[in-house]
Amino acid sequence: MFWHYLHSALLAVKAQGKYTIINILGLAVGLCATLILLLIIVSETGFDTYHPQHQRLARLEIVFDSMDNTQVAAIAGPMGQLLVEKGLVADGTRLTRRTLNLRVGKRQYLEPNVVFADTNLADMLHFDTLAGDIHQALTRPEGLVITQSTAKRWFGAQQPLNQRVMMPTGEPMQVLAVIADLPRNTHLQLDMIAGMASLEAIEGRGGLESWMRNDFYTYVRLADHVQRQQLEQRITDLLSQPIQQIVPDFTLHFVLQPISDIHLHGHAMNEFKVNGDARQMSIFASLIAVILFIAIFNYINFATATAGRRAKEIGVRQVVGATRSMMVNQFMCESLLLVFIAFTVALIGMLLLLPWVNTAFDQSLQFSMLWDLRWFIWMFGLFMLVVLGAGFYPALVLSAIPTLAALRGAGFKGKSGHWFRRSVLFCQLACAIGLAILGGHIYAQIRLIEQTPLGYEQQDKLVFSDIDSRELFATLPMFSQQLQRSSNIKQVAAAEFIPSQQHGNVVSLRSATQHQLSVENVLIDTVSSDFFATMGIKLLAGREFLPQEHELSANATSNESIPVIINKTVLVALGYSTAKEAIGQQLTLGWDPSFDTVNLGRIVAVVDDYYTTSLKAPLRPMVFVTGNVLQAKSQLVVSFDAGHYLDTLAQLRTLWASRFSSNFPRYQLLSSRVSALYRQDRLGSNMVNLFNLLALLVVTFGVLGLCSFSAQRRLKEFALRQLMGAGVLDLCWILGREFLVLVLVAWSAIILPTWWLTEHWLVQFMVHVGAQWWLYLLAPFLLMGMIALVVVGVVKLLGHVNLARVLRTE
Amino acid sequence: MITLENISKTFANDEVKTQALTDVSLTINEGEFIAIMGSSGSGKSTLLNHIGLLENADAGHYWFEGSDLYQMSRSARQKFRASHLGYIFQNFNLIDDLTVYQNIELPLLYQKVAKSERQQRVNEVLERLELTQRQLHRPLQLSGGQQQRVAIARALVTRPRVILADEPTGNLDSRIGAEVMSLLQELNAEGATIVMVTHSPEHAEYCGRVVEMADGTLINNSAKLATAN
Ligand SMILES: Nc1ncnc2c1ncn2[C@@H]1O[C@H](COP(=O)(O)OP(=O)(O)O)[C@@H](O)[C@H]1O
Ligand SMILES: [Mg+2]
Repeated sequence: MFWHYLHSALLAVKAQGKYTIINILGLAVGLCATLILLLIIVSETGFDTYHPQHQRLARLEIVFDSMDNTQVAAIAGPMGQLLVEKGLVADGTRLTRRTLNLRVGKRQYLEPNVVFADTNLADMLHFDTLAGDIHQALTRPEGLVITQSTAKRWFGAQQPLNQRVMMPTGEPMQVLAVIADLPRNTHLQLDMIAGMASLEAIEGRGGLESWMRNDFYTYVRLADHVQRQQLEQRITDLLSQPIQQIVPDFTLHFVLQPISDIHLHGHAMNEFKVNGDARQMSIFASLIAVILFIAIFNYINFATATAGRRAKEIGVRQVVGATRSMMVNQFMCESLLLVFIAFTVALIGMLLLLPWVNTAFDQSLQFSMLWDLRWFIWMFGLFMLVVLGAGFYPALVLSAIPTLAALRGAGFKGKSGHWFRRSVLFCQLACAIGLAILGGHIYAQIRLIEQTPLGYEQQDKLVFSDIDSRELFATLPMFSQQLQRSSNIKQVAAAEFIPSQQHGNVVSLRSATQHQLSVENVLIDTVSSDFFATMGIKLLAGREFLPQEHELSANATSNESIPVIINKTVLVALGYSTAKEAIGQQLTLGWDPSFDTVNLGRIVAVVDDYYTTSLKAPLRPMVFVTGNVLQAKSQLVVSFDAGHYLDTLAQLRTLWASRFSSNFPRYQLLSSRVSALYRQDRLGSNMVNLFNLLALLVVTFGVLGLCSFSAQRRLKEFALRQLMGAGVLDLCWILGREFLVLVLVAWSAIILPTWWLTEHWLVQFMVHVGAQWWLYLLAPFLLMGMIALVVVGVVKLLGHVNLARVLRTE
Repeated sequence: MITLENISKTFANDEVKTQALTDVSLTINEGEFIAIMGSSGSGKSTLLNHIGLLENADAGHYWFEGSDLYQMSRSARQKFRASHLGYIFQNFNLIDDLTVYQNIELPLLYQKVAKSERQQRVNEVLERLELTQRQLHRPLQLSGGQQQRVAIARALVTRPRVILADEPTGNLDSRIGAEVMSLLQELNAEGATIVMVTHSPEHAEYCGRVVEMADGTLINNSAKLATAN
C-alpha cells in the first residue's frame, strides 16, 4: 500500500509540473535559511557540557555594585580557597592568564595565552591528555602542559615531552604533559598551563595573596541540590567582609555563573574570549519561526488552491473504496515526498553556502558539526514539523471533500477556501513587512553606532602594536623628532593602551585637597607627550606631558609628586566644578583600593571623556601618567596627512631598523581597529537582514505560486479578454490587484506591532535612532514591487499561450 | 435484496432549495436489471446515488438483506459500499495518470487484497473485457468505448453484488452503446443485480424492469416484471 501511496504521490508531484517546482523551491529556500540558522544555534549552544558533572560547575564572578555594577569574570586569589575551607562549595580550582615572552631554544615567542592553574585543575575541568600527566605537571614548579598545536609550533616534528622552555625571568620550565587543543565548544582559551608555583616564582606571592587583585578565574563544584541564589548570598556575606575591612564603603556581590552558560551569557570584564550572544540566538530562533511559518503556509495555501484540479481524482478514489484515513495517508505521503525533495535541496544549498556564510558572517561553522547528534535530532524534528505542519491541514481538508462534489469537480473552493488563503497570505505579507521594517531599523542603528564620535579621531592614524614598552618609551623622543621631519607625518605618540583597546590597569584616586572624595577602579594609562594631540582627544584645560617628564616620573620616589592628567569623569567625581580649578591640585594614586602603595600626583591637565572601546561600554574614569610603565608591551600611534598611508609606512620601516632592535611590529589603521569593534554587531545586523530578505523571497514564491495558479485557472477568461483587446497592463491589474490590496491591508495591520517591537529593541542602546518613518513607507512598496514583478512575469508567460487552442479546449 | 422506504432529499444551495426526492420507496430484488428513466432533473441520479450510498437521505430507510444501512456507522457503510457495490459513470471517471491496469487494480488496493490475488483478479477482468492488450495504456489513449470498458472492469473487479450505472452509454455512439448494454446484460445473466439510469428507451429494452421518475417521485413503480408487494 505504501508503494501505491508513494507512486501516487510521485504522479501527483509530476502532474503539478511547474507548480511543484515553485512550491518546492519556495520551501527549499525557507528550509535552507532555517537549516543555516539552526546550525548556528546548535554550534553556539551546548558549550562546556563536556566537563564531567558540568551541571554542578560554576564560575564565581564579582559584581561591583558601587562601580556601575561592573561584573568581572575573575576574582581575587584567596577567595576560592576560603570557600572550599569553609565548606560552601565542594571543590574549587583557579586559573589566571598572562601574556609572556617565552624562549624555546634560541627563539622567542610572545605567548598571549599562558595559564597558571591549581594542581586540581584536571579534576574539575576536562582536558584530553595526549602524553604525560596534567596533575603531576602542575604539582612540579617547572612543570608545563602545552597543547598539541603549541607543541607543533615550538618543536615541529620533535617529541615535545621533557623539552625545555625558558620563562621571561629565566626560570627553566619543562614540558611534562601534552593535551589536545581545546574543543570548539568551550569558553576557555589557553595554549599552555603551568602550576601556581611557577607564577609565584615569576611574580612573587603578592598577587596570589591579594584580596584586591581580581585576576583569578575561579571554578567551583557545587554540592548536590544546592540553591544557587542562597549560596551566592552566603558567599557574598563571607567574601565581602575582608574587602570591606579594607575599603568600608565598597559594595559588591558575587554570582555563580553556571559553566555551560558562560559562552552565551558571560559578558563580564576579562572574559577568556569574546563570548556568544544569547540575544542574537533568540533573534535567530524567532527568525526560524517566522520563516518556517511563511514556508509552511505557502505549501498549505498551494495544496488547497490546487485541490480543484485534483477533485476528480479524489472523488474517484473515494468511489472505488478509499476511506478517509487512506486519503489522509496518501496526502501525507505526498507532502512527505515534497518536503523530502525540498529538504534535500535545502541541505545541498546549505552545504554549498556554508563556506560563504563562514567568511561573510565570521562564523566558524564546520561540516563536522553536521555529525553532532543534537543537530540530527533538531533536523529530524524540523523535517517532521514541516511534513506534519505542511501536510496535515491540506490532507484533512482534501480528504473531507464529499465524494459527489469531488466527482463534479468542486475542489476546496467556495468562500471558506478563498478566505482561508487570503488570511494566510495576509499573515505572511504582514510578517514580511514587519521584518523589513525591523531589519531596516537594526541596520540604521548599527550605522548610527558606527558613526557616533567616540571622543577621538579615527582617521589617518596608524597603530603599531605590541612593542617592548621600555625600548619604545626610551627611543620615542629621538624617533619622533626624526619622523616629524618628514612632511606627511603629523604627530607621533606612544601609550600602553590606546582607544579601541580594552584597558587593563586600574587604580584608585583620592583628592588631596577634597579629603573625603575618592574614585575606585579608575583606568590608568601611561602615555607619552603629544598623546592627546596625536589621538585628537580634546584638552579641556592644562597641557600635555612634556618629554622630560617621562624620566622624572619614572624615577620619582613615593613622596615626590608626579604629573597626572585626569578625564572629565574623574574631575566630576572629585568634586571640581571647572577644569581650570583642578589644574595644579594634588591627588593620591592608590595602586590598591586600600592605598597601601601610593604615588602623589599633581594634575597638569584635564581631557574630555572618550570611549575606550565601543559605544556599548560606558564612559569610565581615567587617569594618565607618563613614565610609570606597567605593561611589558605598548603601542605607537602615528598620525599622518590624509592619503599618505603608504609613504608613512615606508618611512617608518626605514627608520625603524636604525632605531629599534626588535622586528618591525604589527600595524593597523586606527579606523579599521574601531570598525572591528563593531564587527560583531554589523555582522549580526547583516545576517538578520539577509534572512529577512530570504523570508521575503519565500513570501514571493508563495505569491508566485498562487498567482500563476490563478492565471492558469482563469486562462480562458484571460484569453477572451485578450481577444477583446485587453493589454498586458490590464491583465496584470486584474491578476495582481488582489495581492496589492492585501499588501496594503497587511501593512496597516502590522505598523503598530512593528513600531512597538522596534522601540523595545532600540531602547537598550545608550544612543539610538528614532523611528525611521521612511522605512514604514518603503517596506510595503518593496513588497508591492516584488509582487508586481511576479505578476508581470506570469502575464508575460500567458502571452505565449496559443489563444485559439485555449478557447477550443475549454 | 434492497428496500428503500420513503426516501426524501432536499438540496439547499444559497437560498435555493430543491426537493430532489420526495417519499421514494423502491424494492430491488436479487438478480434484477432495472432501468430508471425520466426527464432531465427528475432526480434519477440522486436516486441512484442514494442506492449507491454516495448521498445521505434526509428521511427514510435503506434495508439491505434485512440490515438497516442508515443505522450503521460511517465506516461500516463505507466497507459495505466498497465490497457490495460497483459504479459506472457516464463520463467514465478514470484516473488519467494511472494505467488501465492500475485503474482497475485501485479498488483491490484499497480493500487490501494481497498482491498475487490482485494480479489474478485484474487479469481475469482484463481478459473478460478484452483489454489485456491495453493494460499499459493510459485512459486518454483509449476511445470512449474502451474507456467505459475499463470503468466496467474496475466496477467488476471487486465482484460486487450490485452494479450501479448512471447513463453508462450517454457519452457513446449507438453501436458502442449497444455493445456496453449487451455486456451489462451478460453480467446480469451471470447473477449481478444492476440498476441503470438511462435516457434511451432502446437501452431500457435490455432491462427486466423500468422505473419512471418525475419531479422526484416514482410515477411507475410496477413495470413489466413487478415482483414487489
Ligand atoms: N448537489 C446538488 N446540489 C443542489 N442541487 C442538486 C444537487 N444534485 C442534484 N440537484 C438538483 O436535484 C434535482 C435532481 O437532479 P438529478 O438527480 O441530477 O436529476 P437527473 O439525474 O434526473 O437529471 C435537479 O433539480 C438538480 O438541480
Ligand atoms: Mg443525471
